[in-house]
Amino acid sequence: MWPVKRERKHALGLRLGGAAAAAVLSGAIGGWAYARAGGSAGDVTRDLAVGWTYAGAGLIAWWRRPANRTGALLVAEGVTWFLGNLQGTDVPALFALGAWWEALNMAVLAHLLLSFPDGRLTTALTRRMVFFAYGLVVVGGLLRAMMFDPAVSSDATYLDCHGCGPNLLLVPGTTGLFDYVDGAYRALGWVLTVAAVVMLVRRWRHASVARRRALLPAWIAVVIATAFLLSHVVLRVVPAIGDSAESGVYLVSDLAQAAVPLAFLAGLLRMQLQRAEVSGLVIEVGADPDPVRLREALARVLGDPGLRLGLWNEERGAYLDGDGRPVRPEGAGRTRVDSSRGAALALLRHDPALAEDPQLLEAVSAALRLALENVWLRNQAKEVTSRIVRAADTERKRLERDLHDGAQARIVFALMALRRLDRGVADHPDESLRRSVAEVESSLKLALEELRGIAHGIHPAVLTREGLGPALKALAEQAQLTVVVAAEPRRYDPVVESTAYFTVCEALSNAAKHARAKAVSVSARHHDGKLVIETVDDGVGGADTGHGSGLLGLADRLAAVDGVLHIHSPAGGGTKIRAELPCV
Amino acid sequence: MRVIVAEDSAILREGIVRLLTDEGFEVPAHCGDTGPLLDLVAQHRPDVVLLDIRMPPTHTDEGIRAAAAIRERHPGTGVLLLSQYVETVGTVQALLQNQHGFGYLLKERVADADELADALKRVADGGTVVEPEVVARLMDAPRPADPLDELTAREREVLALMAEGRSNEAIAQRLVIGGKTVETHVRNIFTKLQLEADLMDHRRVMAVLTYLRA
Repeated sequence: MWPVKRERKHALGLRLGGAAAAAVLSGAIGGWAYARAGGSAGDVTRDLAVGWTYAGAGLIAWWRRPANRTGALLVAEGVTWFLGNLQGTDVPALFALGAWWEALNMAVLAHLLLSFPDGRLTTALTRRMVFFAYGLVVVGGLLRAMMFDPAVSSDATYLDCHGCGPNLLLVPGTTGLFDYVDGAYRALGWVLTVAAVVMLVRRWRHASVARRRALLPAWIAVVIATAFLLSHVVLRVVPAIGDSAESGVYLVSDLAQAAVPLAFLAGLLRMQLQRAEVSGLVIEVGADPDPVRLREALARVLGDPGLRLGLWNEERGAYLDGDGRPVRPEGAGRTRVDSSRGAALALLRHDPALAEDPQLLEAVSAALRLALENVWLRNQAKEVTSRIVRAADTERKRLERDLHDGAQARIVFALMALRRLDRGVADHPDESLRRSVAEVESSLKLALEELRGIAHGIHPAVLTREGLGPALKALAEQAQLTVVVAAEPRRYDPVVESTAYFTVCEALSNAAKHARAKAVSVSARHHDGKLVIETVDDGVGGADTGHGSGLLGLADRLAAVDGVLHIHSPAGGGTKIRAELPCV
Repeated sequence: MRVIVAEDSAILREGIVRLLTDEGFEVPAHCGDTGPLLDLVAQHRPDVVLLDIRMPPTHTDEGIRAAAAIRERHPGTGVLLLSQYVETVGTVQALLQNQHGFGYLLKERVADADELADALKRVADGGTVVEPEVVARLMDAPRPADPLDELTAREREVLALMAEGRSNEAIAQRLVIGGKTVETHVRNIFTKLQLEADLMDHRRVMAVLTYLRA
């Protein structure tokens, strides 16, 4: 793949080099001819500036967007710009060429306008118009050139022609017809110009916002060209306007002309900038799977406010938008985004005009795929952790019950049997036997107590039966320090309850063990769809949330149920732990 | 004295029934869940129902709910609840609220025949029984300024036994002291804790528990 790419790059370099050479050569000869025909240094400079700006802008566009023919057309405009100047020479062949192709740049400009921004002529009508424009120059231009004798019609060009020509193409005896042919040629040129403008207006009126944005440079070009033409008309109609004013108008119109190719270049590169925005898109939506925001971001990047985004819904087997309405995968202007494993992810219904910038769509699709797969993976991971936590919770409860119902019942029964035994040996002469019975009894009682503690630590039954508030109060009753509990009497999801409970356990153990606190206040309240647990102690603060700390494990456990943990523990200022658990 | 036993662990149930029989109680019926319990109570009219709190199917509060139903339909029947763990004071107080002839013990207390027999008799007589472990926790609970510090060691013992629901006579017996002495202790305790001194029986237990819990 790499060698092919390099080869392609090489070929592109050659083409660009050739185009640049043509523009330089054309400009040099054109400039020399212009100067020879009486063009001042300022005139020649302005002329070169416009032509070469086209060529330069074209080269940049060609280099940056090699697949788009706009660059090549801009260069062509730059090269053909100077052809009319050739009428300033006294070389017959060059003069003939200049006379014939004087208007070629107008045809190229029409081609450029009608094919922008795609670089292709997309409708039959525009193709016909461009064909006609070139045809007019080739055939009409040739006819006109054949009747053009610079010695007879000295003011037929824009050049101040003294001693131009002779014309190699001139057919003797036809010069009488020149004025008619010239008039018809110009009239057809005007018809074509008007037709092109009408076409552009129609395209503008039917264009989407994205498309209009792309068409804007063509419009700037049209407006500038119109202003230029109007200024000529004004100068002709009002001859008394004065020399300095006239040269001022020429300067402004030349500068405006030079701005046209830059507008085209800017338009093309903006499409590329749009693509650069795509990377911003990844960052923006990366953390937020919200389809509404995602759609807005995509609409902005694509410049298509009417964009619809459908995310694949496995259950309904359809692409659904932010409001849950299906987005149908039919019709023009749709782009499907599949995961890297080929599963359906999303569907974009966009302005069909965007299909003309496939690279932008590809980049957006890739960004969308990345964002959605990222979200999918995160959800998957969260689901798995949540499942694990739930399973562990259920398992703890089962274990606790097994301990109570199995082991505890047996030990109690053993104690009962032992009591009977104790009565039986009460009068036994062997005192050591009686002592043994007493020892077994105390040992069994200790075992029961330990068992109770273990079972409670695994999962406190009071939590299941009475909920968080009573369980926290029980915790407070057993605590070695003063614990004040304020809990709303409310039941939550079992996992939420146990997570909250173990959060307080950890906070209390931290307060007693590390913070050397005397008193802790615990509150549990429901706020804004969340269970908010807060513990505040009067200890030494500086709680360690680092590696291996119980508080860190707490944060993990909370994260598994989408909860968050805030720890505020300034040295010497007590510790405040706040946990928020989403609950329904 | 007639006792119905409801306990889901078969081995323990058999053990309790045998122990009670040995102690001279009559056990007309027993069951492993609360389903048939109300019918059995209606049929045999026991003095006391000995009842596990956690029973099938959910193993949470079946016993508590069955106890409420029994009290509603047969107000004269005493109920002694057994629990696998030390219930919170709040729970115990809620259980005992305005209930004569009601008690709660840790399950393992059934191993001590004398203790169990004593508790059953007190409940049957309309008295109150509170698990000593709950009382011990209350007595040991840290308090900002502890008025219990003003009590003598003996007074603390008497207070704990009062909280367990024992009468003055029972306390006298337990501590092997005279009835008059117990009365003096009780008066002193009530004065020091600024409680109403002439409360008797159930109300006395509740007052002490409320005080200790505050």
